[in-house]
Amino acid sequence: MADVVDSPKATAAVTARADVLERARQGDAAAFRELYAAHHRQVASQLAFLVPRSDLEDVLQDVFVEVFRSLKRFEGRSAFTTWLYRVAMHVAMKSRRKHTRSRLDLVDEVPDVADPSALPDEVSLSAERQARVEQLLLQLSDKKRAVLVMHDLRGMDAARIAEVLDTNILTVRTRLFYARREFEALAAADPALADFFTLGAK
Amino acid sequence: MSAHLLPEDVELAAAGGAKSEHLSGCAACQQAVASATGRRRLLEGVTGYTLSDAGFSRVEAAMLERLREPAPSAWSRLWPALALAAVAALAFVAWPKVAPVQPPAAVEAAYFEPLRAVLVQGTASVQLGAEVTSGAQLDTGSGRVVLASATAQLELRGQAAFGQPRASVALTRGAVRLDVSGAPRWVVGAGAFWVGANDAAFIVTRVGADEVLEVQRGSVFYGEWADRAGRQVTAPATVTLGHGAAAAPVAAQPWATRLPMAAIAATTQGQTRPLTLEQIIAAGSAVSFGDLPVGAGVELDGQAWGAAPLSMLLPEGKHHLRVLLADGSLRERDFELGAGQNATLALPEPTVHAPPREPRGGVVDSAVDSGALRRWVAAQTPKLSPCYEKWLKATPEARGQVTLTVSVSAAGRVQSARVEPAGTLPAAVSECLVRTASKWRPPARELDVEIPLVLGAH
Repeated sequence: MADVVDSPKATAAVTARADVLERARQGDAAAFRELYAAHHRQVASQLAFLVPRSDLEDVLQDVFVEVFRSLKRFEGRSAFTTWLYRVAMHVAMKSRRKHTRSRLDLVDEVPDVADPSALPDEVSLSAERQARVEQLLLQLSDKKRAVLVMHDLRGMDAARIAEVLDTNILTVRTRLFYARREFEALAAADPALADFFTLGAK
Repeated sequence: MSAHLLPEDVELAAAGGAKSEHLSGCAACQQAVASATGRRRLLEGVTGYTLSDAGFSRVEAAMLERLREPAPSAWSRLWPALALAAVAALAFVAWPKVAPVQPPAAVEAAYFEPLRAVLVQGTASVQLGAEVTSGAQLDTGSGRVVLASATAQLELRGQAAFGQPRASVALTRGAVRLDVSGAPRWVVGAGAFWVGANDAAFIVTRVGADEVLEVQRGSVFYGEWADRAGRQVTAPATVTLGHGAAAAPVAAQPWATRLPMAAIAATTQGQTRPLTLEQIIAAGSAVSFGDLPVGAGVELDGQAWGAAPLSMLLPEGKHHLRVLLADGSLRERDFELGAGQNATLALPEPTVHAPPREPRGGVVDSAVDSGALRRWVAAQTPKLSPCYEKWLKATPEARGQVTLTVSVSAAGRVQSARVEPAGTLPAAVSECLVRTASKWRPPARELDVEIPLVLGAH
């Protein structure tokens, strides 16, 4: 079965040769390294926003260990990349670490003289603002975050998301609706991001 | 039929598409569209992220190590006697293989070049900047050590010993990665085998009784200790030692040729120049990131180096540090090292940047020094912590977000302070915050200072 590339942003189709898959399935470490070499970047980019940056390395490792151990159960009923992505999502959700800090932290922002010429439309996200968005995404539940990231950040359609998550389109759309609403509420309440919502109001 | 726009219609309007007539007369729908527009703008500016090449290489090495570990077995719990017997049998079979490795007498030009520790991460017996000579015993524990000379780089994971008399690295577990160029020849002893090269990049991995050689650049010789000549294998190739010829070539790995140490550059007088490994070692300014929170990601001069605690040698000059904390926030700062200087870097202060502000009466005091104001706020805000620490201890699940607004009079005194939105915090906590802020003496006049406070539970 021909493989397909999950992300529409991918520029080159990555295919896993059947013989490599077969050898990896039989426990051939060299073949598995070929699989890793072919897919590690793609899987890592798929994990972005689903797990904290600091966990990305560990989770990527867990994904490929799980792939190696589960490869015998891959029956070829879907594209290998679809199955791989599904494993990645499962591991990401399972391994998400709970941060239970119980302290009141200061937001890294204090009043200053705003630059009147800099409108949110014209200014790209600062590194800190990007970090805040990532933080907000991590506040969503695993299922909502997965759908929001896949749909709104990766551009995947609902049918493809349903395939990856092994669910139906209606569930995907419902989760997407609530995920967007929750994310908007969180972002609008963040002083560093409120500009986007103030300016967006008509 | 819904009285409001469907989600699809809201998205369509937010994307600038056709707007229905209903929208113009529906305040709730307008709010939904505005909110969706804000979200779309925000997410459009978000960029993805991935690991560095060094990160991917660490993942692969750790992954392969884990794959070689035996899977947990219920038998070992159910049948301890059986497990003990299995261990005894394994020990009996493996005993000859774990006997002390002898240096390869057959390998000529074996040589040990003194090395300098240039990167120490996690627990390791070797100290940053220490010179490692023949006969040294290193235990890197779960950490990582990069040793280097002017001509070679050696990365150690796990336990390693430098054998006598001059020649070899005897690997007892984990992996050794070498990237060597020119004479002399480097030799790695792994179980019953030796692996040697004088111009190549290769990794020898040993877990238990297994040894795998991966050649990433150049040619490498390997053989059993009694085999004087050895066999040659050329990159790219992976060989399970003792199991015949090289496996099928693998795709070239972008990280194969060098460690990221060579990517360090120095900035002097506004010009950035790459540094050779020799220059880095010669400069030898030691930096420790031991004061950073454990697990915080460390990025130096644009290169990700892993998680704190971390120590490394750096060339003299200016450097830029970025720290990614567990809560997703970034801290960054510039620092400068003199030649031979040792420094311990603490967590940089929170970054400040221009936030929205409503100057009272539309007039901004031109005497306001924004830098001084930032420093003043950073110095004052810890004084707020007694107000909420007790409450947080009592209710660790508490979370929320408030803004403490301090109005400063023309005389430079705090005229009023308030916590918004009201009711988010217990009254006693809010009152304490207001009471504390009222005693402040801001270095500016005629303005409102807004201090956002966020509960950090994630």
